[in-house]
Amino acid sequence: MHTDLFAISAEHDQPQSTRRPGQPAAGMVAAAVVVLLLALAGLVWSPEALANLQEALGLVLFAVATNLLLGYGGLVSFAQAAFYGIGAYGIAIGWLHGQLPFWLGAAAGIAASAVAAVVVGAISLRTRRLYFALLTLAFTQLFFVVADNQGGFTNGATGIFGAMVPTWLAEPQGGYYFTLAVVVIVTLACYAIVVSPFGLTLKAIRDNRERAEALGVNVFRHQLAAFVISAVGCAIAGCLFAIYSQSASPDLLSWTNSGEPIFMAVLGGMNTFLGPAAGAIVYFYAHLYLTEHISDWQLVLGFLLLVIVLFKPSGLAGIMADLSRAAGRLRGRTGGRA
Amino acid sequence: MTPSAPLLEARDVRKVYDGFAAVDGVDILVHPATVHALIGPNGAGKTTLFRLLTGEAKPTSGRILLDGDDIGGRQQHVIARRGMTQTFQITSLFRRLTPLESVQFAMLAAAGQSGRLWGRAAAAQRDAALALLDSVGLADFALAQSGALSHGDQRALEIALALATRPRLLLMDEPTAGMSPVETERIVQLVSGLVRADGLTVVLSEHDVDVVFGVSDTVTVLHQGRVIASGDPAMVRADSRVSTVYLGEGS
Repeated sequence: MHTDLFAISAEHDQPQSTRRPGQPAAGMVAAAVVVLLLALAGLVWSPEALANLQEALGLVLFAVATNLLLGYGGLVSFAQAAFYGIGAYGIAIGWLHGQLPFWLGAAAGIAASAVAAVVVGAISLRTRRLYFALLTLAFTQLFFVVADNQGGFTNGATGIFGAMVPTWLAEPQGGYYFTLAVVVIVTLACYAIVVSPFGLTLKAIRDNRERAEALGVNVFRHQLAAFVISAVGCAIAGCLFAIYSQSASPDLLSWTNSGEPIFMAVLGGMNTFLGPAAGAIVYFYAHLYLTEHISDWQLVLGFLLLVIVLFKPSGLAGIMADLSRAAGRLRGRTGGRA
Repeated sequence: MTPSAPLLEARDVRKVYDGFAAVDGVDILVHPATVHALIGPNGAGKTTLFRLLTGEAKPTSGRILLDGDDIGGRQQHVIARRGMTQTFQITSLFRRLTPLESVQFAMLAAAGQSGRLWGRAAAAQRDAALALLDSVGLADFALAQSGALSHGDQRALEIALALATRPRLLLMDEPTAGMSPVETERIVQLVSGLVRADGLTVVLSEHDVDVVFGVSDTVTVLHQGRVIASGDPAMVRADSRVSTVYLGEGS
């Protein structure tokens, strides 16, 4: 019963002995409440605030999709920005060159990302750890250079700007609700994958690939499938960026942009499903606030990352789990942990 | 034992490392539904031969046949899907999964469902997985973290993982290393029960000679990379060369 969204993965199974089947986990209820509050925000918040929230939600999806590889697959990929960027460019290029309807451009961008992921994954996943990370980084750099140099096609370093999305999506509320719906649906799909047999296989490979192989699992094929699934999620997040910004530019595909969802996942807690989502929200608003007040905002976030890696590797989700345990003790419950 | 086609066969296999023949022309026949033990003093070539039999290492010359097919150069997961699996001398677990998840994963893998994207893994073969954990004595730790189990419990989980794939042929590299006598007895009973009842075939390498003579149908003794005796336990025990090179040494 893996419905305890904020539980540390190692502890995932422990609550199942204390919870009756069919009884929703606290994390599930909390997530539903958050989605409800987000839906209400669309009615009452100012257009400026909604625009920010819309951008933050896109990053939530970017982080959750990236964490399929990072937290569940144990794979540090620096190619996620490339897939994100290709998703955004699908809409932009389709609009600029083909006068493609928005939906067709988005579909083309997502499909192109999936194809790119098959190629990048098939080559990079032949290697392990550092070499895998370096190969994905090299591929991202390649995609960046293509976007930057092919001026006739991509407008080069300038990028593509214009009314590339339908009018109702460009409006604050329309764009916001559409983004919220897409993020909720795709996140739920990711969750279904994480708790499926495929998700369990990914975790098993992460823990011990040799053993998984000895038990009859084709490790390469499963990792490649995860790589492509994650890329599709990132490409959808990229489409959401294009909706929000009505643009696509090469810096979307820069390898430093691949570091951001990794940062968010680590910040929120990469061993949980929704930790990276929380990490994305905190990262986005911290960034927003810090850039207004401090010129060296990256220094602050870098320091924060250092503190988390050194002292609280389970991230915000780990802190929340500690707090809820402490609250449970205060209420005189033992919590039922064996 | 009635003569039948061997399930696993080594034909004149040699494995040379840097000019040193760790295994030097070994023939082995493993018949279905028997326990075949490999013993020998340290450095006799047990582990090397074991790695050749599992397909982890390729012989320098000679062939390893599973059901009459050469498995040389085949990938591990392909061999595993043909019904041969192994337990590892150095415990090799999924440390962050629970024993229940680990066994469910092994069962899903054996059923060819490791890539299924729908349904919940937590519900898959749950009862069968719990029953298997119970049979190796891990019922109370099904929801613990595998990496946090005691050494003996980790060994038991190691064996449960291999059995979860319902293999026809199980290769066990020093299965009871580091186990208490009680734990060893439980595993020996479990494995020999599966051999008698389900027709499981077992190849094991062992240090503990008592374990070997108690459960084996055939014992093969290695010394300096060669087979010096092979046959039923009583015959091997009576062999004078075996007592000089192995049984006389140290035990």
